[in-house]
Amino acid sequence: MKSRWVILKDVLLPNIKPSLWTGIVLAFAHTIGEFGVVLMIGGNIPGETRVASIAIYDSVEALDYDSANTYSLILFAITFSILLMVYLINGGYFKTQRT
Amino acid sequence: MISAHMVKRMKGTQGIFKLDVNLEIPEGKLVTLYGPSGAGKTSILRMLSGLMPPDDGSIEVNGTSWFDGTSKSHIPSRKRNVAFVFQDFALFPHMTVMENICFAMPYRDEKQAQELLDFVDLKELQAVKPHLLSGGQQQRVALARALAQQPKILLLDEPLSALDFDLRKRMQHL
Repeated sequence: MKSRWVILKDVLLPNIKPSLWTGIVLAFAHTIGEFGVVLMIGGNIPGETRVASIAIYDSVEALDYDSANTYSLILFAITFSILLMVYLINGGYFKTQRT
Repeated sequence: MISAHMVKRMKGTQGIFKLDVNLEIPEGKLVTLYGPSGAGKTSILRMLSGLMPPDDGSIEVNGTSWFDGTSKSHIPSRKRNVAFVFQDFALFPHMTVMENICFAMPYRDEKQAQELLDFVDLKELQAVKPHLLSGGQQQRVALARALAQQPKILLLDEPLSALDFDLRKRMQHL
């Protein structure tokens, strides 16, 4: 007879590992682009609480579209590669076939 | 000694019907349930194992109550010490054959697991994960896993359906 804890640890969690990873990484990728809450709580201090999305907002406000575009592209590249990694790992792209 | 009276409303091909069974199974007896497809054979086993609570009735095993419809008491399946071989085997996909069997044991005992694997003729495949096995091989793993648990009650739901005649005969002698 197995306890609930053993069932959770040895059966349920290993089997939902891909979903857990997806959830964690999606949440993380979403946080990278977070804007409103960060601005409200952290403010916009250069080098301290300024995040990418706020820097983009600032540049657009200052009509500095060149740097805004650069920031956006970097942000896009980071989030895209994170998502790509997750889907590759979950899809078994890096898995070597074991017999 | 199992004495059970189980009532369950179920959906069938001819609409909703009421499954109403009375069972009296003495200790150490082998009982076979048979009936047409969809008659509720699997449901009876699921209710005995605690995976599905009956709507009403009672299940009593050796004097202890496992289910009581009037007081709504229901012992969860993990506390019943019942082994179940499912129609679809339900092996743990992330464990190897050996780990599947060891996980079911009350205490991990690899030597005994080896013996069980020997019984079901799967010694060579012990390090393989279930998805690489054939249906009949998976079924034998499920059978070995059920025996490994050393259960009070062994429920077998079509346990030999995927095996050929020779193997079927040998497994019946286990």
